[in-house]
Amino acid sequence: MTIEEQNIKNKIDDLSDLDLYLDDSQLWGRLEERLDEKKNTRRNAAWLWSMAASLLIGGLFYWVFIIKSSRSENITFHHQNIATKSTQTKAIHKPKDAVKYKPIQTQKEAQVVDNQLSIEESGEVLLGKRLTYKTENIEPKKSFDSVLITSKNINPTINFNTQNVTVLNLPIIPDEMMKREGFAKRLFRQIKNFNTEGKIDWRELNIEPRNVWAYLERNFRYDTTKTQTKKHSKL
Amino acid sequence: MNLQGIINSCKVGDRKAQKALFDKFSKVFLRLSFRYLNDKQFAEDACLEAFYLIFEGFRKFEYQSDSQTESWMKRIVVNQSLKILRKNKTVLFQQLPEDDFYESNEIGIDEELSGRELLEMISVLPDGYRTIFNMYVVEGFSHAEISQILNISEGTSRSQLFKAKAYLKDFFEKTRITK
Repeated sequence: MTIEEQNIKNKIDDLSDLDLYLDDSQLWGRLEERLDEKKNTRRNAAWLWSMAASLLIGGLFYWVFIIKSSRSENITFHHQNIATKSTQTKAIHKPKDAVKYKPIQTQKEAQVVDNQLSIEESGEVLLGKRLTYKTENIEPKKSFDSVLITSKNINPTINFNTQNVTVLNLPIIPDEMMKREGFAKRLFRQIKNFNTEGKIDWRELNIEPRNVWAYLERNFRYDTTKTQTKKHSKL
Repeated sequence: MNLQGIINSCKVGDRKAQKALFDKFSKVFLRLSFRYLNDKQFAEDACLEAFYLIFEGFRKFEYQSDSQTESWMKRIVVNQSLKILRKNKTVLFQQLPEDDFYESNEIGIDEELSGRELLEMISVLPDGYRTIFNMYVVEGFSHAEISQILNISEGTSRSQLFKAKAYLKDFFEKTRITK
């Protein structure tokens, strides 16, 4: 920097009469307003975040405690086209979360009347890979002795407020339907009498079914029969 | 309260400390931005934005010395002034080839000339010339720093300063003859 440049710099630096022209009295007010605005924006953002977080936690709580618990009451019926030939005992899967049955009613209330199932039975039955049993502890809201639902009004998912319901999800095998219906009929009878003829040991499976739902190809049966076991009789 | 104390209080958003800093530097910054912008309203806008950025920037700022803090703040003011200047002018600097060489020239300013008169003289300079003259002569930036801040070549910075001085020399001679 030359001497002349330094001289200019010093003179301009020492300039104070410019301050009379440049008034900063209102500037602080404007700046304070801007800073407050930012502070409010931050506060609002914090509120929004906390609201979002609480909603998330609330939603999570709702999902975990409400939805998940009610989900166990939903019984879903799936059509199954894959079938394998197996014996009755092998085809039944023992549910992991099977609940021990605690009977309340021990009386035999009704029996399924089914004229359509006049089919010859076979010692060997055809079952799908999944013959699902589900045991819960709610009484069905609707109580009727026998219900026949045609394929027209079957929903893929039917929600029941039920407990202690056993679902037999039997796979569809077009040519073997007669045998399967025969099997279902026999199974109902066995459940009613609690006589598995040595083929199914309910206690071993940790299942003591009370109400039985069975989905076949064209109909859907619900049996409100209350099974009566030896254990129940003692009570 | 010393500058370091003020800065520490500003970091936690203390309004009194912010006001103290504003009172300490507002006039300096207004003068500084006015020299670049040559407009009172623009200078106020630049200062407002600069103070806002300074207060925000304190969160990450590490105090070393008063002079370091002052030059950091001044740099923000200059940048804000230039931002406003650029917004209002499409072309500030005529880009020139690097190999152009401009020798140092003297303006020949009368030593009795007051600071106010000098400032009036500088204010008649075109924006591009005035910016470089202010940055180099008044603020003490090097050509390398100017080229970095303004995103121009060093050659352009030198040429703009040369032309600014020539302009001032011509203007000064004309006014002296008129007087």
